[in-house]
Amino acid sequence: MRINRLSPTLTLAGLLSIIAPPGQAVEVGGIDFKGSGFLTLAAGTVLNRGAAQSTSGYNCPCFISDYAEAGVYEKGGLQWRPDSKLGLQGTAAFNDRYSLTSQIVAHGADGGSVELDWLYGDIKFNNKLTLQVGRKRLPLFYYSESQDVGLSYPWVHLPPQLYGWEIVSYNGANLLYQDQWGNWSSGMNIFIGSESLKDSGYWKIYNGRNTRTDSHWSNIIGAYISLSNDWFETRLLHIQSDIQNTTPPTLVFGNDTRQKIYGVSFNADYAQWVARSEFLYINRKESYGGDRTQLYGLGYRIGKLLPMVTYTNYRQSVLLDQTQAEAHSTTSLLLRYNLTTSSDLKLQYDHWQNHAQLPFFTGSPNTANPIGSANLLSVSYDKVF
Amino acid sequence: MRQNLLLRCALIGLLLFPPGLLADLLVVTGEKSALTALDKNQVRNIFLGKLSVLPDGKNVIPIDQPESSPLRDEFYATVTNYSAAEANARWAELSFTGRGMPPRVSTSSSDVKIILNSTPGAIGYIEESELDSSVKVIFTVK
Repeated sequence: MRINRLSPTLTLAGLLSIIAPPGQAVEVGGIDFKGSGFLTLAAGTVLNRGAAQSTSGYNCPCFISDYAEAGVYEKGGLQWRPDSKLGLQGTAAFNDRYSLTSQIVAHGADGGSVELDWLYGDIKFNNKLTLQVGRKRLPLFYYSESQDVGLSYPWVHLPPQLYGWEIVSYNGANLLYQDQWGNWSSGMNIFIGSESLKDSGYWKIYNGRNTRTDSHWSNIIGAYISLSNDWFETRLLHIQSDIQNTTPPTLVFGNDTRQKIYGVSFNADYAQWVARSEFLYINRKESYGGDRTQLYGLGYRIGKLLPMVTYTNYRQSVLLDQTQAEAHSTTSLLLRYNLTTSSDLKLQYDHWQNHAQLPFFTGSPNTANPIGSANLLSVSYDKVF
Repeated sequence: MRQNLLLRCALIGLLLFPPGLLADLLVVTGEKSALTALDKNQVRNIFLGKLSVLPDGKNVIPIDQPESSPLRDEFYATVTNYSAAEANARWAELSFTGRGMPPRVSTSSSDVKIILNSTPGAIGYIEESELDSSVKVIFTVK
């Protein structure tokens, strides 16, 4: 939701973020205002040799780092836009029960335009149960809700095979329940809502850089439960919604078909070992077929350093013609260094491999780019304040 | 020969870990707080944002030492198995997604004691040498 169409909320979000200095609450008229923010400065370059060829208006082979914002590293020099972002969050607490939170984010991938990603009111029924109403990130994956906060996850960019979907936010309501069962901490979230996204970044990647496609997910209903003990955490998720995409003025595809999403993640932080895994299946049999993705990551902490290797895989199944199905994977090598408790530096090498007959972005056999892969070297500086 | 080796190891150990750094670290609350004792798992979960209400319904609020404090590094490494930086990354995830607010940051151990006595349910951690009658110990980090 771009800010320039939302001047009243822009005013509110801006006020909430600016009134209070970072990390400190300021009381104005009996209301506690608190401001905070996050920053990622990133740069990367595609390492492939040879001539570039245009794919969907991009110079390829290229590396897609952020589907939702059309963040694509193209062949040809150092680029900073795809993963750089700046966010401000403001919270106004009226009392112990009621508060209002807003978050505005400027994405380099979207030309720096400011978007209102969060605006919701909290009603705290008791210490365990909270109702939130408004605009939030859709919790599709483990790191979905904090996808703009680079410090909250190990990588320069979230693995695109898993995190690459057209809708990442929703307007609606959710119930959040947090409790402790013996040595296990639990969190449950039930949510309903919808999202209408104009000029989707995701569809620019498929339909062309200069095209416009609007995406609609309506009748969203979903829930997740997370359980964690001192070293292990798991999360189970299910979401259903109707989907529709329109390319103005007339073309409609995926007309109000129902999708069913199933996800599970297992994470472990045992001694110096860091393990991340996530699995997702989307049933879109009413439309084209379905999607399967997996993520496996393993790292080992050495003081302030975290070396980590990650493999993510995406496979599409297409009901009518399987030769038109997408299939690709990314293998990533990461080195993260914690500069301070609130900032880090990351260095990452990604190898994107196409496994399908489709020449999707990286080429395939029988095309001008028979290698079918893209290699990216990227660095980032993350900070929260 | 073997005695010499042991002596050398002991000397190296003392140089690397002076006795002052091996003192107990205390998890404390205000003297009038209703909290009486916590176990390591509860302390860990409170300072990682996984626990804000105790089984008896009491609210609990964590208070941190300053970002530059070595005590903060020692506390997180010993109690949570995360570094202070990793714990902060987790809090960033929670605070920017509406699932929790990070611990209030004090300016010193003296400041921790003042906050504990003015904030119901607040808990913090201090060096053993800072213990006085204004706070009570609810967990000892060995």
